[in-house]
Amino acid sequence: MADRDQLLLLRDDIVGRFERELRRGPVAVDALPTSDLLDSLPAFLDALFEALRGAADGEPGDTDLLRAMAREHGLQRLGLGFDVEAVVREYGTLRAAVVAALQDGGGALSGASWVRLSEALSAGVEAAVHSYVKRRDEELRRRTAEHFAFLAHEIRNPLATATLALELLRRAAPPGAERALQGLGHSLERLGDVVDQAILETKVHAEGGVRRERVEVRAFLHELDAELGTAAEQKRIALSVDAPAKLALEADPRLLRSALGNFARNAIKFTREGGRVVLRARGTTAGSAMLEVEDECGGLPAGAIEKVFDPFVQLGKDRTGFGLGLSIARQAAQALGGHVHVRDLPGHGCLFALELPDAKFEG
Amino acid sequence: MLDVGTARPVLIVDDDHDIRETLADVLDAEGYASALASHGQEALTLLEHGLRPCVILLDLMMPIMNGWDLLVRLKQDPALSTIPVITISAGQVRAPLADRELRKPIEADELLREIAARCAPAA
Repeated sequence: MADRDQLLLLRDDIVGRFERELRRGPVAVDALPTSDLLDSLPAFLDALFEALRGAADGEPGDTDLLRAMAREHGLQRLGLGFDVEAVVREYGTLRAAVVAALQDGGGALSGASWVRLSEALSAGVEAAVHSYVKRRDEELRRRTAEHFAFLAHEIRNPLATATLALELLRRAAPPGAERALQGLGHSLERLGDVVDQAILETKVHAEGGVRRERVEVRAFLHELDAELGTAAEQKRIALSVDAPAKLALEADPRLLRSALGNFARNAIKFTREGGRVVLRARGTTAGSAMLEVEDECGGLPAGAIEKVFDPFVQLGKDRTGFGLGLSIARQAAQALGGHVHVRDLPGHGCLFALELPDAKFEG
Repeated sequence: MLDVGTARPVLIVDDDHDIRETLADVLDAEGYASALASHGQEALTLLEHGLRPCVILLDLMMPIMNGWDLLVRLKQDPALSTIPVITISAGQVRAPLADRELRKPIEADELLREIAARCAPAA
């Protein structure tokens, strides 16, 4: 009798042995009905035996169906609360059930069929474990992101209170308290930056890493302009956009917003009252896009260019620290496969640039 | 009816006691009166009893009645739908029904600018 036909006759016996063994095993499955415990095992066995067809003649086997079923099985086991070891162990149990059923039934398989059976089971366990681990990791990332969002919310509330209370104190500060209040203000800013950075990193990680999607550069800069308009108006700063209409990028808009947003907020913060900040974009001959933020901060102190992208660097006695903002911008640029640059415009201002690949003019 | 002087007050709705009180202090320092509620339902009760604030500062994530639900209730009531609402949220969340959205930590200057555009000081 052909190997496949022998096994088909033993199918119900194998299924019974498999279930009995699982119920004796270390995983608590007592409460599970047979339908859940066996999941799609009878159909899986049919596919497994089908994979033996032609094995003795050296014909290639097809394990695609087996893999697909095993992937579903891995997800079902995750839903039942099995750990990854239990999922792997099941395939050993199945193999043992096949061997025992053959021995007790007086049957035997050819060497080639054994090899094919082992290969098919290995393909099955690999697919099941892969889908199990992938889904479990997605779930873990989602929960981590939720936890971070909760944590961020809980941190921002007291931060909001402290920031407003500091503003009240500033208005009625006794002489000599300025330095202490300034230090307190910087500390609160840093805390806010750290929270923002942690949230962005967690969000990108939780959503499966860096995305690539089409971004229309001019529309994107106008959105940023609208978002920061109030902050600019407060200092009577003219915030404007200068970008060609048809420039587009393949980039992750969340990271792009983080990088350019930090450049722009920084520019507004350091530009003199009544000054000008320009959000500019242009394509380069090398096929990249240069997104620039030009401010009127008065120029950088000597030796500052090398340090501005370092976290929490402070430039000169009269300047607030850059906090994490520019450091976050650099990290975001690197994640996008780009670079950040800064150019000093002596006595006038600074030009922060984000250079990104994969830019093109459309239409 | 609450006695909040002749000028209309700012209604602060936030479940965080410290933020409510500090916001009220900041507004008081600039001459604005304020009324306080710790969740949406409490705010709605004040409004149903006749409080007519010049603006509502509204947190979004609150127990009992959250900010989004209060916004919907306000927009459904012709007597309340024209009261401007500025949301003040600590989360990465949006409230499309609001007139303005601020994110915590709020900068006092930005807040006061938004208030000044909508309210007259009590003094």
